[in-house]
Amino acid sequence: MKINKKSNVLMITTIILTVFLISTTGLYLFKASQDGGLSRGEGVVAIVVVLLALIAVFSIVIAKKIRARKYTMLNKEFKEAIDDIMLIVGTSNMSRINKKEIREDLLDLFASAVADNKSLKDVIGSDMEGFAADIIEAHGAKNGYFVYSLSGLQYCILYLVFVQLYEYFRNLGSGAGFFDSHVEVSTVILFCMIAFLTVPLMMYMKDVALRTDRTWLMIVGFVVQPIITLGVFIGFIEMLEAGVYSGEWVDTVLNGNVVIFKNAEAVLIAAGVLLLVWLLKKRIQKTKLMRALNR
Amino acid sequence: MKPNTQILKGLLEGCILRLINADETYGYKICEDLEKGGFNDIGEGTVYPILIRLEKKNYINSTSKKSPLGPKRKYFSITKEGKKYLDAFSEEWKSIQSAIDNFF
Repeated sequence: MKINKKSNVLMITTIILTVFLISTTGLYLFKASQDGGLSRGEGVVAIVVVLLALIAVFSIVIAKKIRARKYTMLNKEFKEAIDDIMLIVGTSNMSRINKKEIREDLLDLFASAVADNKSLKDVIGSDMEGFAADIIEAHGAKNGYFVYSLSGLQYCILYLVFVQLYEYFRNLGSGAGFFDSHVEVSTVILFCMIAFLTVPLMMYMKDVALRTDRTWLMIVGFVVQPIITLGVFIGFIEMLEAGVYSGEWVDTVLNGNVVIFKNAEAVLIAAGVLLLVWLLKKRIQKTKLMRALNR
Repeated sequence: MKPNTQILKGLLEGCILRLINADETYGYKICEDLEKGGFNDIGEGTVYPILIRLEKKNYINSTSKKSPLGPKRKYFSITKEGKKYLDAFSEEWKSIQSAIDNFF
């Protein structure tokens, strides 16, 4: 049981991803300024993306420090254990309220143990991952790859809304409304790959890494795998540009544009799909809970 | 040889409900009482998930109150469904115990 290594690895991989995102955005801005200038909309979106990435990293660091201050009645061993257990619990599809309750329960449990001079091993044994898994199973909240794929569908819809919004803001002033904003087909393909492949794999690998104490898998899931996915996409585009494949579809992928949300009905359909997927995930959780309780 | 985990967890559910039925109590105290009753290797790590399951099955209720140590503490009390389950468990245990006593 490697106390606190999980929290540190997760923080480091998040920082690496953020640096990667900021560098990519910086390169994009530099290239755009070389090619003929940046529109106001592009500049605003790029700044917002970089700021959100930085806020995410600082939030993780600051939240950890705030939590550490709350745990004044605990010793170092128990403080680090709570963080690691909550990381594993965080991979489940439990509600925020349930997760907060678990943290408070553990705080009380560990505070009593410290008052009685007990060690962490006395309280939860030597299998911390098993203890966290038992908590998740008791809530019927274990995620499987299928649930991550459903989350991927939700991300895909949200990404496509974001991309069309980005095009709308980029062309602000040209007279084109949101429902007239065209998106490059290659961009749609990239975001679908991220939504259906990269993000579910990241979440699944993080889940397995934390539950089985293989922190190297987190680095693979958060750093290596997204780089490989991006590399495959760029390689594919390069092959099309080099003429390795031919056909109408090649021109569509390289130069085509599409309006994803053509009207308000399309947005409503997307919202309906988001709601259905959320309900399906809740249903799966309820079924797993009934199975766990009847065991 | 360690006793079967699933059998032990099933028995612990009944014992924990018995303790909660006697008086409103909390997780750490339940572990201490189990230890006094002879369950020497049962840690809080085993009891806590069982308490979650019992609450999900609606056999116990919980209320949060401030503890002397500072953090909020959950106190558990038994429900009507919990009492019914406890009575059924008690009957079943008596019948199993008398059957097993014939062999050991």
